[in-house]
Amino acid sequence: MFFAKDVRNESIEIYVSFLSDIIEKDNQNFKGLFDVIINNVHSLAVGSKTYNEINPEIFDIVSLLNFYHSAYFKEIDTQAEFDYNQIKKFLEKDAVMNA
Amino acid sequence: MDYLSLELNLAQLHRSIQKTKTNKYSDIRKESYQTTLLELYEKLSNEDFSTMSLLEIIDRKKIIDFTFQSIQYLDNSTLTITPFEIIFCLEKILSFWIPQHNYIIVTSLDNNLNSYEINYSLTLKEPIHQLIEDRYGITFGFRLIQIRMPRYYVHDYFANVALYHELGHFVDSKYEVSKKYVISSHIYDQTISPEANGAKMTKRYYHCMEHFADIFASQYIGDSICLSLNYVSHNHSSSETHPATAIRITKVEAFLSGVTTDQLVTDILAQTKILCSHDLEIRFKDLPLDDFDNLIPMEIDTDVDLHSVILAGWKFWRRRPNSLIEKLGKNIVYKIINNLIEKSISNYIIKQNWNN
Repeated sequence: MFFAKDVRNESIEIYVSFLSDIIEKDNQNFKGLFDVIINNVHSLAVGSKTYNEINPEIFDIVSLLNFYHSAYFKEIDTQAEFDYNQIKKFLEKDAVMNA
Repeated sequence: MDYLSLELNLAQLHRSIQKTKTNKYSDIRKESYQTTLLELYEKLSNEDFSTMSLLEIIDRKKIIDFTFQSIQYLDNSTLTITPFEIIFCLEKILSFWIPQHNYIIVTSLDNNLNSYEINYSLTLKEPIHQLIEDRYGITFGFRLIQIRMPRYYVHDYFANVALYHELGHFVDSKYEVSKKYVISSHIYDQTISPEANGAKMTKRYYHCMEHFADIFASQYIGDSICLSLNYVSHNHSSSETHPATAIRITKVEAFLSGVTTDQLVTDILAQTKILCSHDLEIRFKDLPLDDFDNLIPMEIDTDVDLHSVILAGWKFWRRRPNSLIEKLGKNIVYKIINNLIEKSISNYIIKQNWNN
């Protein structure tokens, strides 16, 4: 288990809810938030950022996605529309793994 | 999970929130937080849960949980319960390490004698605040940090050195010092699964957190953190969550010696400097004990003295022979020293308020 069974797992569920809002309601607030998260995971995956450079407020979600799905985020095109459905599937799986 | 259970949960919240309305606080920020909480409750109670999707029901459950937890913290932190002086000391440190923060330290008292714990799930948990803001347009101006401490030690400045350690955990988590260090320095073992790698890293992370918190505390209260630790968890061996007590003490001693070659301590110091913009360094001094000998509070002039007075209490107790103990007995001297420490801090608070 990567993360302790604490507030972080709860946060994963809330992030899943944010992604649903992006997918179903085109929620721009959450889209902005997730775009920052995805860009940071990509930067970590390709090595253009270090862990110390990640904002502590999103560190849990960024490091979690990078730890389990680094290969996927390494290859994403940061100029194109992100596949939020795929990221939601990742987080739903991670929430189970960390439960 | 269905909407009927959610309605039951809201009714439970209603009963608790009615009691909270009568709370009296010494801190107007707590009142402001409570007002926002009541506003959130009103929004929740005006919703029709029966038309919601499962995902929306899960969201609302989380918001009700958040509201309940906030109430629990506030109810335990009213005018009559809060140990004002020690919280003042901790707030001084908090403001130094996290300038211009919006945190309120609240306390809850526990019957368990070893129950020192800091809970910052409402403080550093951004997603729930983002959810509330998006759903209801409500923003909390403050965040609560809950410190749980034993009821019997609420005014005990010997036992309460543990609170400095707990505050260390908060500062660590705020900047993610231990986590970033452990993840960055983790060597991935290809022979085991990702989950097993994660488990190894989690243990290292927990241990690093404890060392950070010990060193953080010792900046202000010196080796009294070791004396306390060595008594309450003497000879404890290493576990999943905590390093062995002997190792913890060795790390603090290495830090206090000022010339450490201990790799982990060196790494923690370097990582803290990068992420917190402050050094972990000795921030206490040895105060003369004459005032305690003369049964008068110490005159505190600076924040350094403020924390050092607690260390002075420990030094006074351990100084043997001790003519005051011989004259009055240990039980009375224990009470006197605690009262003198509290009075010293209290006088400093008055002086600061007067100057401001």
